[in-house]
Amino acid sequence: MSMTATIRDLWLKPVRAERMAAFRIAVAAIVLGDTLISLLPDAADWFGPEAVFNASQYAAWMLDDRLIRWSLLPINASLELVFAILGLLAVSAVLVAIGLFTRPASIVMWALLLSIHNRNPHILNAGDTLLRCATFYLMFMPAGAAWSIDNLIRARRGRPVNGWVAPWPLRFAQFQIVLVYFATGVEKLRGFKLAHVMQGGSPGDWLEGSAVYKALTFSTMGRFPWLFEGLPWWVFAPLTWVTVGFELLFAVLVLKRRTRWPALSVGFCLHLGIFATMEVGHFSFSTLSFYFLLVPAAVLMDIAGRAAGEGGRRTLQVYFDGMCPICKRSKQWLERLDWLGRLAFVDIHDRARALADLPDVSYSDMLSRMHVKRPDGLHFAGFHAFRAMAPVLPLAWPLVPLLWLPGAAAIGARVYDFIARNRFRFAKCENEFCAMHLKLLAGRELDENVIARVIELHEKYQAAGKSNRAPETPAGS
Amino acid sequence: MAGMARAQRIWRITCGIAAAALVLAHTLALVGGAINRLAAGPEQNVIDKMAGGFLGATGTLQRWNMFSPDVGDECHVPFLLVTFRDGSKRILSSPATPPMAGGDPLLLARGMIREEQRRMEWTGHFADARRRKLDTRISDPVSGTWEQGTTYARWLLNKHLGAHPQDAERIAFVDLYIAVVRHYGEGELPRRGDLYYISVYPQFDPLWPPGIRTSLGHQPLPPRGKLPTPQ
Repeated sequence: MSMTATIRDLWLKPVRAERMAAFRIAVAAIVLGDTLISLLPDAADWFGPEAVFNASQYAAWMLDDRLIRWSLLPINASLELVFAILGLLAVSAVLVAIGLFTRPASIVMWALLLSIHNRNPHILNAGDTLLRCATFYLMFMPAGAAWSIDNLIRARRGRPVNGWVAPWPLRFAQFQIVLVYFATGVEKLRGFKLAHVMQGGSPGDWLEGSAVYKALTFSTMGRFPWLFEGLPWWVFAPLTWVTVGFELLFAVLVLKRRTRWPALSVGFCLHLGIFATMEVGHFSFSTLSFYFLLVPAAVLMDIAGRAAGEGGRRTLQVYFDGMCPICKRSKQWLERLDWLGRLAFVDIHDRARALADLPDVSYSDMLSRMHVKRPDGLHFAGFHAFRAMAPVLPLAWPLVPLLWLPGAAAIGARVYDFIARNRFRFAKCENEFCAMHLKLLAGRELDENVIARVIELHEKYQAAGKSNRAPETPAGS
Repeated sequence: MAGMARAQRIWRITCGIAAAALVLAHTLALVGGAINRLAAGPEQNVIDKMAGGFLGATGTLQRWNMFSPDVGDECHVPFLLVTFRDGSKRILSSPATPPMAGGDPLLLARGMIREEQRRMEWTGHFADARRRKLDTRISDPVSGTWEQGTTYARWLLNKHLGAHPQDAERIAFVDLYIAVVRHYGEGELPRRGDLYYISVYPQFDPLWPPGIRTSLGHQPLPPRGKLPTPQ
């Protein structure tokens, strides 16, 4: 594809709306949570007539000739007006979250958030900046084109709802988060002064490796600064360097399909770590809300179980060996974990169906590993199948980022293959068919001969199930 | 009907182009401002002013320098030292500030704070990021201003007087200090560093409680901006 076509596709080719819808819900939830938890309870201290940032300071801040600032809160706003604005902000966030009057509500949410933030800049942190950026981009996004009440209303009125929307607002917002990481990384490197280093000085906290340790023990920002007391700083040096490297390379890593998931997983763990160890408000959540814009839409649609404009429920087909006790037990566990009802199980001994559903997978592969087929047609085997299922299993959600960390696939695939290869050792069979089935599969190359015997055994098993007859040993076993 | 549909289509396309142009301008301002800052440094120039104007109006002005270029070795905690007419003292501080050891503010003022005790009382921080940010902004020697210090002192004082109105008659004077807390070093406890005295100017804030002065008495307002040199 030519460069022009690539650029045209990137900016103009319609994309699914689900990523923007997920972003919309996440941003609105953060605005709502922040308003209720950190702004409303202290509204008098932060924004009222007796606020810690007084009217004179507010006026000077708003009239700063270097910048254009505005706010819906007048200089001497009463406390009642402050509460009214905060209440409206909460209401607009609810409307955005549920997708009712999405566009006007998102414009109101942005305007009110900016007004409130401009009233007292002293209490704001990086998370607030990111939240304002998020609400700004949200105004331009067709974020109500999926998972919204607006969509339901449109459909009821007979208007077309297909979930495909213009991509450019998504691209701008993706660019924003990439810029945040890159700029953060570059700023960290600014601590390096060659002349200073040449004279034997420190290359700066980040290159030296002490930055994360110092941040964790930052007495006024660390959540539990005493927890790290006495630990040597160099323990955290690898984490410091990984942080800088991750920030500088984030753009490249998320651009490539192969490294996108691992990059997002590392980022998720990083921000979870920041939230756990530092009291920086909603910063981690605001950053992570942008991650929804980078996750494949198909995964989000699978989690939701439906896609805008598509009838029916989206389910993942799980192909398992119905004669293997470990596989059956795994299936039972998966059924228990499948709270959202996103999995549908297919016994591979229904051979005609399995081969029709997965035409490019051999039957021996199906006998060797569990397979999962997503509604978009992509299919996965073994550990990768489990990883594909994890996003639709609520209890497995905390595991999802870990499963995508660099190296997780290599380790996971080995563990899975070991269990799959040795399942006949661990398994306790309830009947002879099962025992013979495992014996057939154990430690062998699954050639046509073995497969023929497996099929023969299964046919006998089915026949025995109908007539309650005892099994006969398959020929050559 | 066809004319209506056409008009709607033209309206939608026009809105789309206008919105895209706005976002494009925003992105150009974002990138232009960032590159300009990297190349030209913190000094303001035309590009910075244009970019800042646009981004300021949309609330998307940003600089991603958290803990950059260095994390540093110390943080700052503001507190108001209230001296009563009978000579007793009391420290007023933000709820995000750890309780002062032994309740005796003079220990802190004299640099005799028992860090172990304070550390034990400062067990963890939850949902107080905004208060802590405020404390940091007030006491930051780089960005802090005397205006901020004055309103902060007034705020602490009024909150105290709201809860203890009888103290209004007892207070002789109040003074704002910033305690420097050095971080845990390798195998070390946090250490108290310097103590700064910050001049505050009651006449700047109309909400300052009448009759309460600072130990320095009435002083003329200095020019707007940075904190005066620490004493």
